Amino acid sequence: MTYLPTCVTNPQAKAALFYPNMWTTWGNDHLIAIFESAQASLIYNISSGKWEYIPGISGNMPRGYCSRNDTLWASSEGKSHTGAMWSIDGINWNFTTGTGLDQWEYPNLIKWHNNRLFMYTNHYQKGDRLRYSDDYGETFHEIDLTPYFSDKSSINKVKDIFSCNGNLYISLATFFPPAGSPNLLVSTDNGETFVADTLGFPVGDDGKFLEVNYGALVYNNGWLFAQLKNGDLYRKYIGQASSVSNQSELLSIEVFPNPVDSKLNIKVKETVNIKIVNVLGIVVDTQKLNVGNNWIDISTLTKGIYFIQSSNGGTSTGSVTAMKFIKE
Amino acid sequence: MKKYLIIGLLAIATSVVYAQGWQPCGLTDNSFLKTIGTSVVVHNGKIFEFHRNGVVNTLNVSTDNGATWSVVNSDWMTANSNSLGYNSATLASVGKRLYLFAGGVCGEVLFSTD
Repeated sequence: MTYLPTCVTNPQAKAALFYPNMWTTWGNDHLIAIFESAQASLIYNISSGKWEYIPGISGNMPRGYCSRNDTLWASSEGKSHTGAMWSIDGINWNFTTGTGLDQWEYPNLIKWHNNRLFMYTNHYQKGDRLRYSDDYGETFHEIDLTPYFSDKSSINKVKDIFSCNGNLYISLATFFPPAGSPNLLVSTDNGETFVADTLGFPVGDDGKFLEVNYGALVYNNGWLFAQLKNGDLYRKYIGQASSVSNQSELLSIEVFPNPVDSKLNIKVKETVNIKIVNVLGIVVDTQKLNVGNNWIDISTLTKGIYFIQSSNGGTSTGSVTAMKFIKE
Repeated sequence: MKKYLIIGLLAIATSVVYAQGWQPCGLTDNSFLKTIGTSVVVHNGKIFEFHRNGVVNTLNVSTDNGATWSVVNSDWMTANSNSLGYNSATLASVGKRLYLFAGGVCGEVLFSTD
């Protein structure tokens, strides 16, 4: 095993960076890291072997990143925009409306899970919230986590949002956690309900659960691993991916080019009926697609954001596929 | 007879519950006060675990989903002890490379290509 040292500095500030607060991978050749100490996000391109600075995008310093297929998503802190933003090249960014978020509510962690966008937010008066969006970040709804705490007055922090094997995991921390409060919640229904998943975890000296920090949940070959705050590593067998898997496996359609002017190509793996819906939820077109590439004429659509919705015949949330595109 | 049947059922129930719970990998004997940097990642189908206990940095690897572990050669960590000695550390897997962000004085990133 060979390890090669390389020094990382902030290309803008010419100063050394320190421990990254958050990080994510993007495709097979990019690593995204947030360094709060330098108030900078860096993107590392393996092909070029260089780190590049991701600008704050008019003051919207991202505090969380995630990837979905080829698209990089980020939370936007809210100086000129509050909500989510996405990019296909890491340079040019598109902003979502973020309807439903309060003023001074700062988005933090962001994660895609089964075609639903989850986001953890902070508000200096109203506290922290876990939210989700079913329309690519245009509108956000709140998930109430207070029922899962024995002391609802405690201030709870979401340390990480983790998606694997069709399940959604939320790791939590509390400043003064009462005994019995969970540090890990799991949802098997796309965030509609949660149950505590701490069976077998040790209890700290103060009688409270130990935290599972950011990035401390990993999955491999049916095994879920969790590293606790004290460094101890635990594992649990949860089985191989079921019919509801992560979003990249679940998605069965590809859309390009995006943004698009007149001809949109939709590639599907099975014959499917699709609807093209505008941001108001109005169906503007319906199509039956065959396996492979399908070129759709959208020249008559007005400029804006649209969603392609398809269903494999099921009625559950997880069976619906939706993709976003922009008509120029 | 009834007593043994109840005990048997309880034993089965206990084993089922245990099978659904978390099991320690038996890697470390850390305490929060001693451990500064911890991280875990899946890389090329292997589980890598890093922790710092006192002044010792350790990188473990498992090729059988956590059943058994071995310590990765630590010469490179000794050579970069300045970076690894001060703060937390983070493992990340990208493509064929395993990265270790070392939160030290110069913000080094170490990566492995094998």
